[in-house]
Amino acid sequence: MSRIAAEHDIHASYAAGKVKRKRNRFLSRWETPGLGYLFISPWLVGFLLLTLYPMLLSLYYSFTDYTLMKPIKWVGLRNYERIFTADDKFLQSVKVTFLYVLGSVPLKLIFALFIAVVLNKAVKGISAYRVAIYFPSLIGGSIAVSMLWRNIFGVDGFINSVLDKFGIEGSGWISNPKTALWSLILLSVWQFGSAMVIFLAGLKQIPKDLYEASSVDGANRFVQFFRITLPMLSPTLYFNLIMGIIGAFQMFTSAYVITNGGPMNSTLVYAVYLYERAFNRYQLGYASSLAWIMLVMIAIVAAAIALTSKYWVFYETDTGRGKRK
Amino acid sequence: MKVWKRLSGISASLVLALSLAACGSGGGNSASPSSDSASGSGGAAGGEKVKLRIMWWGSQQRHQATLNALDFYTKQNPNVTFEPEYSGMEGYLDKLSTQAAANNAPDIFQIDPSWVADWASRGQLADLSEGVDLSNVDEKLVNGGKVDGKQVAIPLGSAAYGMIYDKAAMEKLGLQPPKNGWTWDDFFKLAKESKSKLAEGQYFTKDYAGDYFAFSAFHYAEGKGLLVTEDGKFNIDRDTFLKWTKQFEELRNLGVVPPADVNASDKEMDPTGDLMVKGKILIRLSFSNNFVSWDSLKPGAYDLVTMPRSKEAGGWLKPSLFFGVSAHSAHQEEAKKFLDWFTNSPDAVKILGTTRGNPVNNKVAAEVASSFSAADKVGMEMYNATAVDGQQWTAGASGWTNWVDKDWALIRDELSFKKTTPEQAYEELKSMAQEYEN
Repeated sequence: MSRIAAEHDIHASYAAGKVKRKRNRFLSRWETPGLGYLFISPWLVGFLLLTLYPMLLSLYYSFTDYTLMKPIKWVGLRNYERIFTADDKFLQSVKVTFLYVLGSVPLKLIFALFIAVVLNKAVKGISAYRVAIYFPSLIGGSIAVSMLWRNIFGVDGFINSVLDKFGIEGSGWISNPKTALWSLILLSVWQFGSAMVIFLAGLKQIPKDLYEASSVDGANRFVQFFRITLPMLSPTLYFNLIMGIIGAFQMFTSAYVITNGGPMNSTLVYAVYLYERAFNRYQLGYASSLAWIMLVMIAIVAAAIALTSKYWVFYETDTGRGKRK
Repeated sequence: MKVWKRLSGISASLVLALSLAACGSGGGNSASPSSDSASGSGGAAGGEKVKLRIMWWGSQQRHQATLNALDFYTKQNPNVTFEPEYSGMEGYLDKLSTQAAANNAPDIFQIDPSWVADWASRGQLADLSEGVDLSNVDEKLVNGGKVDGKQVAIPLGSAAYGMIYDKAAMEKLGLQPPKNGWTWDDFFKLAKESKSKLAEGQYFTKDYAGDYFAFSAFHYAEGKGLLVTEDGKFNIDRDTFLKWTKQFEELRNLGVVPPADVNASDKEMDPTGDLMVKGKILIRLSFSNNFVSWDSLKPGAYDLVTMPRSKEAGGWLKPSLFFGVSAHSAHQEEAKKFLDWFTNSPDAVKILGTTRGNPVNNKVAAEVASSFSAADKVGMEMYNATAVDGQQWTAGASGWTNWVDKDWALIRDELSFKKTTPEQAYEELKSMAQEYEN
């Protein structure tokens, strides 16, 4: 009814020459919104049911003493209060997590960039090399690789037997609190694959003439890398940095499988501690509070990086303009 | 604006990841609590097809014996098939807990005696008071599976806690092997005596300073009872704890227990991780029923001995394991019938041997004992030696599982890495215990 009326109105106003074309286009686009929603419904249903709903539910749980068994009781801010005032393990896990993020993200990005630069050569059969190098890193986050890691870095593992050949007595890398976290950081470096692919795509976008022009001016490869490649790649770097940090904050599999948070809580990353509260002690309310604190922490770190980005991220479109201001 | 849009996306993906982690395992199995077949389950004997999910942990021997038993049962009851899930101990409780949290626990699952109270109080165990005949089972074992007068778990075996030692290695080093009835003084004396005889990279025993179970045995032997009283109070005697940890401090300084990183790498009964199997230590704690598994890793090398004693016996008999039935299972009647067979049928007892400890049904056990293997018999011998005056095992207070599993593990590492003193360790355990006291 109303649509016909609206259409009629438009026609009428057309006839009267009152409405400009622009406004008309806007209206017609909104006339049949149902179809648009239908197209995005697979995503929308997934988002509402699997993301928004659990998210809101966990926010609610974080203010309760939910334990699966007893009726849920609202406790207000008590979970948060306990986390911040009386939970040493929380502090330890935050410390470990930040150490892990600080260690793993830069190393992984540097390594991914290095490999991407190496693979960005016009060599015959380069695609085969790319696949061969990218492929193993896809499984870096799997349980199987974690088990492998445990054996490589174990007391009688591969590393120590190699060291032994040179007369060096290695320690149990993953069973020593001083080195355990570093073993996990090394494993994260192995998962460089997806960052590398994005870097590679970024490298391909850099116009060749920049390099040609600079080499005419006498710039060597080293200068080219820091003066052309890095600045031109900074949007890609920015993206990889943010994604890497978010991923690192949520690290779980390897810390859980390889060391299970030990020895002496030296690899008790945040997600492992959260898991312990939720599924060993069934304190799901408490664990939900922990999850929201992690969310806020990640948001703050990501926001801080986003704020600094204007000083080091350059977009080709706004060079010049950005400088003048 | 742009930033916040991005952040909201980030946060959304984070929470999604977290929530997905919760339902990670057990995918594909949707034998969920729907009550569709519940109405017919009473008459399932009529031949309605039932698939029971069953989960346990253990060694290869236990897996094989259990699978054989399941096959046998299916042959006799063609309407019942099984979907077994089995693994080592590591990660088992985590997996089961996660499944249970999602109301997707297997129909039948193996639990440790110390979990019975916790799991029952969370309402995850079905009432098995009717339908499983336990009349020929020792009352102590039966009671271990009772909570508030209800039978919520079925005992699967009984085991004695003692020690296993590398007989061959000790003889080679010229050490006098221990004998049943030996004392903790003998134990520490033998450890110090071994100092001059051990090869490089070889140690007498594990660094048990912060080991909950080893210390429990010592605490018992000194006549101080349980570490946590039955009504949930911290009960470690300070002097006993200091005596124990200082003895180990001495052994640590002598170098007859492994350095911390080696000690922490130990994985019991893992062919490549177990320090005794690797020849690094000579003696370690063991349940009588586990002898079979160790023996299979190095046939004929090992022997069992009772737990050292002092004022009182150090070892105890305990129900080794229980089977529970999920409170959400749609096939509780069939599960009970299977458990009845598992406990009382001579066929089952013969197939299973002592893979879960001495069979609980005394009558049947006596009938089939002659068919047991030599390794089974070594375990039974230690069992009988412990039974004479062993400690009375109890399931203990509920809600302390995490204290035993996580808090003690921290103390264990801190002690062996020399990051804490025995005195501090005691205070730490005591203060951590406050969170669990009720």
